[in-house]
Amino acid sequence: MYRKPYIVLIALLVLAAGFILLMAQKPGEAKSEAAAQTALPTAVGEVIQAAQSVTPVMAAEVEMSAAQVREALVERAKQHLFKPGWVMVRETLTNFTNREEYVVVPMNGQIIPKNWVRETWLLVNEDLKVVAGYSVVKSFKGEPLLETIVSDGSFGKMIQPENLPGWQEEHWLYLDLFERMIEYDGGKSATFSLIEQGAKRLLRVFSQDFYPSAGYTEGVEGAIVSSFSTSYYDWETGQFLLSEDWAVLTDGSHKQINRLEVEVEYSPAPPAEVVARFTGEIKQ
Amino acid sequence: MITNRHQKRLILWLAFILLVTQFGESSAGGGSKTVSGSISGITYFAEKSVYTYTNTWTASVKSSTVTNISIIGYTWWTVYQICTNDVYSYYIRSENKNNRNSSYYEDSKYVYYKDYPCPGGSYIKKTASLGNHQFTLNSTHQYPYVEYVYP
Repeated sequence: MYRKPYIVLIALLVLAAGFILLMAQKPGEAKSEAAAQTALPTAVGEVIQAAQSVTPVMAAEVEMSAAQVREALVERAKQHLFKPGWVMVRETLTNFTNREEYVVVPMNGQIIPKNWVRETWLLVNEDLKVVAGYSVVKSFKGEPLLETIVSDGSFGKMIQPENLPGWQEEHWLYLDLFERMIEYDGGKSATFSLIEQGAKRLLRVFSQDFYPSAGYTEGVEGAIVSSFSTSYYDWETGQFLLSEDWAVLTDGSHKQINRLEVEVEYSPAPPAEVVARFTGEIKQ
Repeated sequence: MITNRHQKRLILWLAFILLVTQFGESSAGGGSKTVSGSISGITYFAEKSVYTYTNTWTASVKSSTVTNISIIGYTWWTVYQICTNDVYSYYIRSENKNNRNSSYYEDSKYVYYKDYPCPGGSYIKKTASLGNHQFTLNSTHQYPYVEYVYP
């Protein structure tokens, strides 16, 4: 008569003990593949398949916490990413939902595009500090939509030098991703692994958001119960390469939301029209 | 040795709470604001919220009453994300969404951070959910304004 409650009790206590052990894992310890798959069912494999440009040959778990991975990327970028001279960063965001091509903010007429390319020229000095920068967001048709510029005066005029901290190398590593995953759950639900693509080693960062109730985003039919994202970094240089966001719908199906690709080029000089912006004709 | 049913039930509840607290270790930032009032003696609740996650942030609007009323919803609802240089990196406005002869209306927006970056040199300053709710009972209306801005 009393046997069933005992079995339930023991099962619950075993489960609780398992979770305590899992959650008490110290930073730097390896999460087993099985544990990661239990926490994040099915998503990892499907994301790898979806990222056409990444063909993993071998995957290995990275035995580091989110904070440690963040620091490792910063260190690698400091040594290898920027060089003195002009650097051009091109970010291309492709959105796969059915929402409108753009939104106009009624208060100021500003246009927020659905798909966009952001080209940013950065002038890096010998100390690897960005001393001037020009950034333009364009639609996929090439229309310039939003420009920003900054300079400490060592190139062209002095233009809002107080904003230069936001233009430094770390900004281009998308480290806000790590800050948010640490804030969300200390980075415990994120997984990090190394994969090989040709001669390159890439860091794969997987993270998932679980919502307390289903909700909606523009251009997606059906309610969303969670979202997951996979980002890839060049593990040698720390460069952010690409990421994809996916929504998990109530029926268990996945819908790709977007794909962001980042390219870094080392250019002898920006085009003349960009150089002209630093002479002061640009409208902020 | 467990000797009575109350003790067993207590232990089961403790185990359950332990499990729930372990599952619930992730916590979204953000919060909500609720305003209550009454329309023809019927209590209503008007709520706006913003919660942040790793890859997304969510905004919601909820209107509820204790019993069914003629119209429940909102007359307008705006969700935005503004950057430190005062550029809007996300903005959406919806109008006149409601349910008839109901006690509940809810709408939400899930926003993906990477879709809406701040311009060079700036970062997200605020995310917000704001607007007028609608509670109508026969020919009596209430349109309470509720705004929640995070942080």
